[in-house]
Amino acid sequence: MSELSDIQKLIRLKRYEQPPEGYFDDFLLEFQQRQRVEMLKRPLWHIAWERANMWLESVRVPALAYAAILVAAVGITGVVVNSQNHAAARSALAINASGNMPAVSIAPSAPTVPVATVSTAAKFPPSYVLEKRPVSYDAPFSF
Amino acid sequence: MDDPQELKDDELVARTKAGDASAFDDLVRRYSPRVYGLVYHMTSNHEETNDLLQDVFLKAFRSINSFRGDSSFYTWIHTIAANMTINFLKKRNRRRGVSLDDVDSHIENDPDYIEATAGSDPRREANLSELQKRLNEAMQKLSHDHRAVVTMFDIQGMPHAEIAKILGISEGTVRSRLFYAHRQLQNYLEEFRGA
Repeated sequence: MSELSDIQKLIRLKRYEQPPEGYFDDFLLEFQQRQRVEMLKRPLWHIAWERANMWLESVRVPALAYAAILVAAVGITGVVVNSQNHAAARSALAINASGNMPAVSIAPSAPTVPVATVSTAAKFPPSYVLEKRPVSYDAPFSF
Repeated sequence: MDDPQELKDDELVARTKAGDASAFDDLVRRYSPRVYGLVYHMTSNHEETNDLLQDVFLKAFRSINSFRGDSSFYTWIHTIAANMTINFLKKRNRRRGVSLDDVDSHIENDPDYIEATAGSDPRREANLSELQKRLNEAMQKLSHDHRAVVTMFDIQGMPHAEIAKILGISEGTVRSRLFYAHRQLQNYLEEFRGA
């Protein structure tokens, strides 16, 4: 008989090692108790998170894809925010240079009348600068 | 009423998914002995096996909806058990002592046992205890991956293809790990060989 099969015969003897009688009945009872306790204790968000992870595992998305998706999402968000900021900055610069709302002449001889276009008014609502010290706080005059 | 012994795994899984917790209990009854064996022979510790086994079936219950039947339930539950056991063994900082199950008395009628202990000390109980101790010590000296294939192939009698599916490796890797593990075990069990 080959040497290897002798070793295998010896190792196979380990299958005679068995837990005590009744162990698996007790095991099931303990499992049922733990199962019920766990089902009662888990918060809803935990269950939702676990289900989401299980779904992701089930579609077998590679781990690196998660990072790629996250980076792409952050990048797209950054580009959108930047473009909005640039547009706002350009409009603000145009208004600061003129000092007033853009002026439009109605007729060649008529004086120019500042006209606030609807779009401009909508973009730049009037802002008010408050005095540092309200008038009512000034000390009354005494004679 | 359906006899749970008659219901196939697919039916029990479907009933579990539909909310029938007792269907999963039937799956636990059906597979706990085999999965116990897998975990026990890898850890050589009854208490650790009990805790791990509870965790294995709890995880399986929690993730039952993700089981789509691509493999058999048998393969799926063994995959969970093997992965959790290997991860547990890797994370365990200090090796705990063995806590061995008793050996069934029927071993004394096994020809392989008789051959292994023939010609040695006539006190059979000492032989049995010593043999069990040496077998477990030898198994614990193997790496986790090698111990897994030896457990599944030599002790539990699984075919190479099934082991490969469970561990997520090729059949060739299963064979090479078994070859290496057997060579290692030869050295550890020299005195019991070829009696």
